[in-house]
Amino acid sequence: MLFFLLSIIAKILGIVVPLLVAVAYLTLAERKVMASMQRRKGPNVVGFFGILQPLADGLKLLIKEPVLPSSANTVVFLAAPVLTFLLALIAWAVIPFGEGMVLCDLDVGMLYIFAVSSLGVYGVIMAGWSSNSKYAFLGALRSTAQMVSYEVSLGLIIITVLVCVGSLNLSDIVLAQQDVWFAVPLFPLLLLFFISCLAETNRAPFDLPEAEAELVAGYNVEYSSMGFALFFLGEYANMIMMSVLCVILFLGGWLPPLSLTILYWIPGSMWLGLKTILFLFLYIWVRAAFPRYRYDQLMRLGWKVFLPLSLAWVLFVAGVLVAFDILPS
Amino acid sequence: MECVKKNLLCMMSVLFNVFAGLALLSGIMVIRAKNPVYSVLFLILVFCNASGLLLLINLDFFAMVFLVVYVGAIAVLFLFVVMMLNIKLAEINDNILRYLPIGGMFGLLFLAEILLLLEQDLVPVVLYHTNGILPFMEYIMMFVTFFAWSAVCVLWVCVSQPWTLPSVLSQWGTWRNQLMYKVNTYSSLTMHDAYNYENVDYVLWPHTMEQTTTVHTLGHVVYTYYMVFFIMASVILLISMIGAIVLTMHKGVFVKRQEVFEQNTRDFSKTLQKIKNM
Repeated sequence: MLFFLLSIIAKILGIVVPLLVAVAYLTLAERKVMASMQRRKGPNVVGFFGILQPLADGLKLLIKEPVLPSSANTVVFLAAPVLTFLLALIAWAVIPFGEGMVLCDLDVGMLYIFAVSSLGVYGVIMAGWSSNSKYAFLGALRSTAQMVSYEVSLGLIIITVLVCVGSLNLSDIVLAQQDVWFAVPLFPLLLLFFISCLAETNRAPFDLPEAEAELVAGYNVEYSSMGFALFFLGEYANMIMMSVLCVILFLGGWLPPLSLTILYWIPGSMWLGLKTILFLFLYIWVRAAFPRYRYDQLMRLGWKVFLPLSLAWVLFVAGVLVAFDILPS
Repeated sequence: MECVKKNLLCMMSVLFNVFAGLALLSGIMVIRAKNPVYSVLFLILVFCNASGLLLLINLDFFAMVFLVVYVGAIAVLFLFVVMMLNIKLAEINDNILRYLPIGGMFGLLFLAEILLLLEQDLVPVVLYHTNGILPFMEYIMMFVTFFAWSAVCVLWVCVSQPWTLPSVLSQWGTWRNQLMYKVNTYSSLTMHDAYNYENVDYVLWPHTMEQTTTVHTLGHVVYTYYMVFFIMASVILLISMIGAIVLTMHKGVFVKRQEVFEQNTRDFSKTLQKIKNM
């Protein structure tokens, strides 16, 4: 029993610690990539090429004074960042990093991830309400409405992929792409999914909650030090999570691009990581390249463009599968 | 293996108690909380615990759908509305007992329904404890109940008829011995004894069974036997959705709107011409 517990704890640490390191270096990558896109140097003082910058930032956030607003609702105020961070971490329990390399091989893995990501709204809305500040509240309302709207199209796109797979298990989804990645037959859906992911994680060009010109910094204005750090970590962990999801649903997870023996010598988790980095780079690229959407345009895009389009794709793909009798059993 | 299985069962029952207890507690807090936002948050906690209970009976699909639909969609809307209403706390505190008659009546009705259902055995119960060892919680519960009731009885006897105390105590002793005997025989009658018969051909039932998931099973049932109900439910949802849209969609005449389609289809050369002519 003790051994069992210890092994589980070791597995969890084996997922969480690299995740946190990945988050730290994602921030550095973001700053560096955006700097080169804007012909700047980016952080280059701490360590070689600024390689220790995220650690310095983390240390700074840790030793800063946590400020509690006097009019804030203390319990909810403290619970919100914890909840956000927790939800960003527990979604990783069902992600397969390789054949059988998964903490918990749930039968309903995809649904689990969807449920956890839909719970992510609560961290935001609790933070906005409990801060008792107009900026935070407006930011939270915007953020929540946006996340809820884009979740619908996300769900429909996931359903389309699931129809092609015939299982909710993430390992099965990856193994179904052994012949051809879903990015090939379902390429438009990959585009839709990636854009919805941008909106779901509140990233540019849909980072309206943080529109610094209108709402100082969105739902987390009142947070300082570790509370802010937890929101930050949660947001970036969610970004990585969504990229991994794109890879698993469309780019064949841990599978190498061609079915060659040489390519199978590289471990599957490496392939997963490489493909994830591709999407994370896209995230940053989009942020550097596009201006912010206006809020009504954002809502229009979500409800009037993405929702009908993804719904039509569900019907189309299901219809094709039924018509040619190639539904997965 | 045996040990792990026993631990698992024990853990399951502990988890059941935790989930059910938390659900009840937060259910009470939903109606007791002063702040309506707290009420909604406790309601969410109830939903989460209920989906935990669903997981314990292996209904994984339902548990997840419960989370997605109730917590991810409906409760968010509740929370939205409650947060925006800006209710004064003093208004709510006026009289808590005002709703007691009606609320109590409904509560009693539901209780009666549940009691009726308990009699009818709606779900066929599968007994897990075939390996003959009483789960720890049940064991404790049994003794706690016995000692509590007997203590009450003895106290009652002490007060009302003190002269019969010795006979009552001896009676209590025999009862306790009977209980101990029952528990002991129950735990000694293990599955191991049942396997000791020789020359019996066993059918390996797991090999003859087809393995499916909850989702498959549900799909097979919902899209065949219950198709009519399924379609009816979706039509009802559609109608309510259309109703909500009709109620809220009145286009103001003086409101300027962005016509995206018009913007995109506008011909560049003609636009320039228009300005030139002016």
